[in-house]
Amino acid sequence: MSVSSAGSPHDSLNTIDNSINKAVFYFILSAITWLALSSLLGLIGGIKTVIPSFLSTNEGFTFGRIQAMLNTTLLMGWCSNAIFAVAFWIMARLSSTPIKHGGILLIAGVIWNIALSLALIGIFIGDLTAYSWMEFPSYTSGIFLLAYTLIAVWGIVTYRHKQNDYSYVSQWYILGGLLWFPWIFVIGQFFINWVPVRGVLQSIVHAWYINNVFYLWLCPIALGACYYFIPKLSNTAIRSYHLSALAFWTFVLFASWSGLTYLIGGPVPVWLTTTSIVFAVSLIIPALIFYTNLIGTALSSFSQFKNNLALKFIIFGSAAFILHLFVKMGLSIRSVDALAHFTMIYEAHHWHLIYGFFSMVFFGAFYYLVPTLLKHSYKSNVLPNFNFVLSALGIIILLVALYGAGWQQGTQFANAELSFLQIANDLTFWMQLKLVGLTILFIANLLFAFNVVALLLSKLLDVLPNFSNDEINPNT
Amino acid sequence: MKHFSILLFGIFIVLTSSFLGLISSSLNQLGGLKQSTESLELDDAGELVLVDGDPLYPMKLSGSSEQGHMEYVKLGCVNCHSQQVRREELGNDLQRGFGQRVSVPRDFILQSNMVLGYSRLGPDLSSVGSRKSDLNWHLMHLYNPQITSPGSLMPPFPFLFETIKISEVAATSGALEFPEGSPYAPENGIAIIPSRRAVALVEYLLNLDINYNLPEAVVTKNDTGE
Ligand code: HEC
Repeated sequence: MSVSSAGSPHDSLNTIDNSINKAVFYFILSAITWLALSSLLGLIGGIKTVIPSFLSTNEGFTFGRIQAMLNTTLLMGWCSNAIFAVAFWIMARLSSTPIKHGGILLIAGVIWNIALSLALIGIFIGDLTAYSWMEFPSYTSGIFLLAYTLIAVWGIVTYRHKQNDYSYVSQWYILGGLLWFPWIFVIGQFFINWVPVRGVLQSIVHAWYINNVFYLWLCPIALGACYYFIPKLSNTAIRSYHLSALAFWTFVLFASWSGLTYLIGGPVPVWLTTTSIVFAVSLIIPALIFYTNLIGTALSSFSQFKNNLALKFIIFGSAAFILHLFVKMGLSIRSVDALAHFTMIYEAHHWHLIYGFFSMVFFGAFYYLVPTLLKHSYKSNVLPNFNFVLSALGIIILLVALYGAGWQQGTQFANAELSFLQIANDLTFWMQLKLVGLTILFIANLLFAFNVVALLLSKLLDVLPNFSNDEINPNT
Repeated sequence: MKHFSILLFGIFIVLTSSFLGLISSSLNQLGGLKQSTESLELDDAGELVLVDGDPLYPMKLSGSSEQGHMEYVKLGCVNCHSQQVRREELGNDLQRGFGQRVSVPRDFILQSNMVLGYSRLGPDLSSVGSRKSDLNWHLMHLYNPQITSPGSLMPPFPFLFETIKISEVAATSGALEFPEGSPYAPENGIAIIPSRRAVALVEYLLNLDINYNLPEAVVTKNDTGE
């Protein structure tokens, strides 16, 4: 291994970490800021489903706009920035390539966040689109794309000189996710905003878009993180690693084709939804492999799991993900869909993926990454552990509430005697429970942000006195 | 290096295949749909025959309905309301009167901001215009759903209305007519006037109706006897 000027492997790790520090910290701080904002929006939305008149006099705070801002901050704010932070760092580590030109990455990050801020203002004043998870106004999509192009250019510059082969499955997932995203984004924007097709064709593109953003952008990166961190933190090899390549190809292929189950029973050709159903059900293959690869490995080193905070988050996330896949398979069955369609089960399913899986895995990754980059660890693990307890509790309550609400809605829809006014009223208990869940998540997310920032500050406090004592070294 | 190019190739194939298989093929199949003047109707002998001469369906929305549609999008009504009537075996949409036939792709060909919807916290609105045709009811409901539907989870949209003082002489045409003794009614001498946006939105709602015949979709539950 010939890493620039590095002697021991340990030095080379440091070179890699240092090379990317600034950009990674920028993304980490952006991610936690958007996460905090999203949990505030989630809370407001939650209150509104219990007290509909809450904050209703201002147009910008009406339920639909809060929901649009929530989705946008979650997806384009928290998830994307977290991906930029973690994905590049893992890639750099695994391919033993120090990151060059981190400056481009930083500029791209700034542009991305400008686009997002504009998008939120745009939604607030009423420029939102009709499409969930792509509500950001069409005039911001070009800016997002510009930022992403810079990131991609930077990626190409860096990995042109990659030193190792792509021999880890983590790298496949991350490379795949990074390449798929811009493409999904452009197809969605092209057919819906730039050169809009009409009618149900838009709904078809939209369903394809949401599904691919979830399963070929968020999922691959988070899976890449799982495959990277689980063996590393538990000090064991992945169980049945030889199956992981099969899981990779079957998961991405089947998931990408499974998107139109959102439209079952809708005004679209039946063969479309049938095709997607077949692929959705086939996800059983990768799901079982994920179970062996990820959960199996964790179970075989249970003692590590109990003591390692990052690992706890990541295992929780992996387990949530496998459950999520089974729910997805279930929802694609027509008779289940007959009950679940149009209910909150879908809202639950989205939270399940974004919070239960993605966010939990990334919390774990951050709790490993931030101390490693700072070379400074938590003096006490009490608050980070409390974060885990709150996040886990909050998401479980939220999911119980939403799946429960959806189930009840579905059974009541079937009874044509019951009016929608009645059905909505009967949801009160579940909506209150949902609010409890969202409140706990709100606190958990703030605690997470606090923990990350506190570590940064305590590192700064450690470093600052040295500055005043020593001659200031221009190279640091 | 060989390894890497196979990987890239695979990554490319995965997304391209699902794009071609699901999106391009639908563009092919559905891209050519046009409005139609034909419909399948029952003749005297009870047989289905193709009849020409209907107006062009689906009908184009008027200018202010189109504006109302945009308000519907901007206010996020799609979060709680769907606009699609599903087949019999997938629920009881027909029985609930969401429409007198199921929705088909042709119903939507003129729309460029699709609001099929994914959630039904509130009822489906495909044919709300034929189900609820009272302008004042809709305005009142938007102003505050509690007036017409006590306990509703639908949010109020008071910012679509203006509160004005009425002078003795000026006519109060267009003001909301609150039910007798409603606790939400304004004091004497004050009137609640819908803005143009509110009127456009309601005009759009009143125009929502899929109870017309298409060659591939016949109104089945035709109890108006047309
Ligand atoms: C938070 C969810 C929610 C949002 C957002 C929402 N609604 Fe509703 N809507 C409901 C519920 C619940 C009902 C049933 C109770 C009632 O009549 O108020 C309903 C009922 C209706 C009805 C009566 C339908 C019928 O057949 O009785 C109309 C019309 C309507 N909504 C229009 C709208 C419009 C227009 C918007 C956007 C400006 C909107 N809704 C936004 C939840 C919502």
